[in-house]
Amino acid sequence: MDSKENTPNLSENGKPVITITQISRPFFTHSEISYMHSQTIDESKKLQYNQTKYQIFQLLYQVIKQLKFPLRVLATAMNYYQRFYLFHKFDGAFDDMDKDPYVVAITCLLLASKNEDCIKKLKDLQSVVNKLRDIDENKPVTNTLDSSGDSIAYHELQRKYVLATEFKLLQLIKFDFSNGANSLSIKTSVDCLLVQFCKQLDINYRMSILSWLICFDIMSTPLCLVIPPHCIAVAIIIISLNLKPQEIKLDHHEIGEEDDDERLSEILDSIDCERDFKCPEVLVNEGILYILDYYIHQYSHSVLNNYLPAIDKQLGKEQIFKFMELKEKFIDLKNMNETSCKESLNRTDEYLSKWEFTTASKGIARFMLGNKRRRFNKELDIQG
Amino acid sequence: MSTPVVASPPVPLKKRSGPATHNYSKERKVGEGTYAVVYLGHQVTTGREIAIKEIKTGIFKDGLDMSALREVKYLQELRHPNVIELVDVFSTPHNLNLVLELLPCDLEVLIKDKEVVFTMGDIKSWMLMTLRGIHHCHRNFILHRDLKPNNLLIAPDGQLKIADFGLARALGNPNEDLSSNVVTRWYRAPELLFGAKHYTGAIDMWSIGIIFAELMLRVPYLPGKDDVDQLDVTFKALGTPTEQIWPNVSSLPMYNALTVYAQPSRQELRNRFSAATEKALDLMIMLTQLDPSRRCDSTRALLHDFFTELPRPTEPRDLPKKSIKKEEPDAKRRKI
Repeated sequence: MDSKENTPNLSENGKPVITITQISRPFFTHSEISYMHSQTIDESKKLQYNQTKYQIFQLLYQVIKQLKFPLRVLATAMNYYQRFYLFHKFDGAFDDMDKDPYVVAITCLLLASKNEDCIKKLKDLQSVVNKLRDIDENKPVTNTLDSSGDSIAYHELQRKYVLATEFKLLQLIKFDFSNGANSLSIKTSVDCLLVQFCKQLDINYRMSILSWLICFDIMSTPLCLVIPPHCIAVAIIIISLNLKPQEIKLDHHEIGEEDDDERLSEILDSIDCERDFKCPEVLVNEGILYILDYYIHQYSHSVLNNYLPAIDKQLGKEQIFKFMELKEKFIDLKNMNETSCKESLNRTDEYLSKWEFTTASKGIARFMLGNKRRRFNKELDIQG
Repeated sequence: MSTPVVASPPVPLKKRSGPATHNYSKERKVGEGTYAVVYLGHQVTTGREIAIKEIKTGIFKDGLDMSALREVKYLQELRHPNVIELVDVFSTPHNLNLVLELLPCDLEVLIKDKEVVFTMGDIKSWMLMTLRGIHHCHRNFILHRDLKPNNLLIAPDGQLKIADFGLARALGNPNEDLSSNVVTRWYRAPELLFGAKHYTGAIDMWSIGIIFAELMLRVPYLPGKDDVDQLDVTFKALGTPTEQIWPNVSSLPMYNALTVYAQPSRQELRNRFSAATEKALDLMIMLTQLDPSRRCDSTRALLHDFFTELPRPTEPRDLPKKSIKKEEPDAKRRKI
């Protein structure tokens, strides 16, 4: 591909045209994310953003359950939703479809289902979402897209907004459909990877389920914007094997899993992220610390809370102390160095500013896959 | 990494040029499909000829078309001399534009052009390039799912390039159902005709086998009139699969009420493909095995003796080109 330097930019009348080259960045550091949020979410709206996000993710979960979509569609949709509000203002105005987060949510689900090859008609997605929200799809509303003020069925207007938002979303994900994987041949869904890794490590049913439950909690966090899916999966496994709870409320059990303790410790000691899973250790550490922090702060709202007893027998204390204990143990882990992402530097990085959708109407926006993926080049030396 | 660049001194555009899109000029509309318009043009800086697929977004029932999404998704990843190059992706206010290398001819045009004579060396060369291209897709775990002569494009230098990734998909999740309604009918592998929900790169290999036959026959090998007829035509030519030659075939959804045809004898195949050498027949038989697990993969096909026996494959630049007849400007208009 051409470098931008030798790309002259012309319009018909010979006037220069602005061209923006957008190189996809699948991941951001925490400080980059908080810098971006500072531009798109007002301080006063932070709480509302989080509450809305929670409600919307709950809704999306119901929708994919009804449509029998695999979990990876949900994961991708949640990734898109969070990515959207890195670059786009959050207004939280539910009655204005132009700013309605639910329109964004439907759009994310639409694009995720396309990207994950689980195609459903937009009309069907809308009808499931609207039904769950108790909205009468056929009620006439004023067509806000038209100055005539004519009325139009709710779902018709919603459809128009969704389609307009889809084009925006495509620009915000920079037309990068790889979900942060280095190559399309690498699976991108944490839950699929997790099951495979557990199998490879010969981890028993109880611990695999524990990992899966943690994965389910972490899926809705912005961690997927920070580190790649295989690193998240390995981080989850390491945490599960460290927690090793004696009791999990499960319907099924594997014979002999109670006597597996020693073997699990051996597995934990033998894990080498780089060698076994091609995961840079720093990124796995980042994941571990993030997940521990998540549980320390939000354990009572987590899915995991429903499956573990309130008091851990071994420790004789509430579960949350177990996560704090682990955090203590891991406090010295080397994690991502963010010195290159200070706020002063972030401010000069135009990629991080709110995306101007009118750019394309003034000039042209070109999209390329990122070379930041080179960070994970070691993944690529699979023999093919 | 976002770098707004303001132009260097403006250069006057050629008069003929249509609306310029920065580095690319759209000069001539060559085709229009349901979701895209294709223009020919130039890369302004290099003078390279390119094709621009302008994808209409947001005006359709369901937004960005799946084929466009797949084309971007897979072509951004693949880079190989025998796979069409996606040069650039850019957006203008209402459209998404895919800039592709310009490939003025395709294999179907050549097959239909009765003025052009194919030698075995020519066929060998096209087969090699097709197999190399598909090998690159398969080793990246991507299925093309729509191979046919019409999608094998020919560059001006004779290189063959696999194009149209609108049906392609990655082989990622083992437990997932795939649609059997893929591949243009005449090139559809028997497992697809039986409605299999799980399949592999073998479906592409089948299509290549049928294309190989078509290159030798110069007419479509298995031209079924409809989906039912396709089963009949396929098995008349290659025999009806039984449990014996294809274990568990009878458990596939659409395996029923078949007319049983015998496997063709070697002599029957020799008669049908009179120009083919024994090695060529061997390769074709391997590519058209009814049981997908016995069909040869791209690696084995590329290593086949057919490619090392004489005559040598023709150099791409010496391959036959379209005969130049009275100008039919729209003859090469491709469907999108």
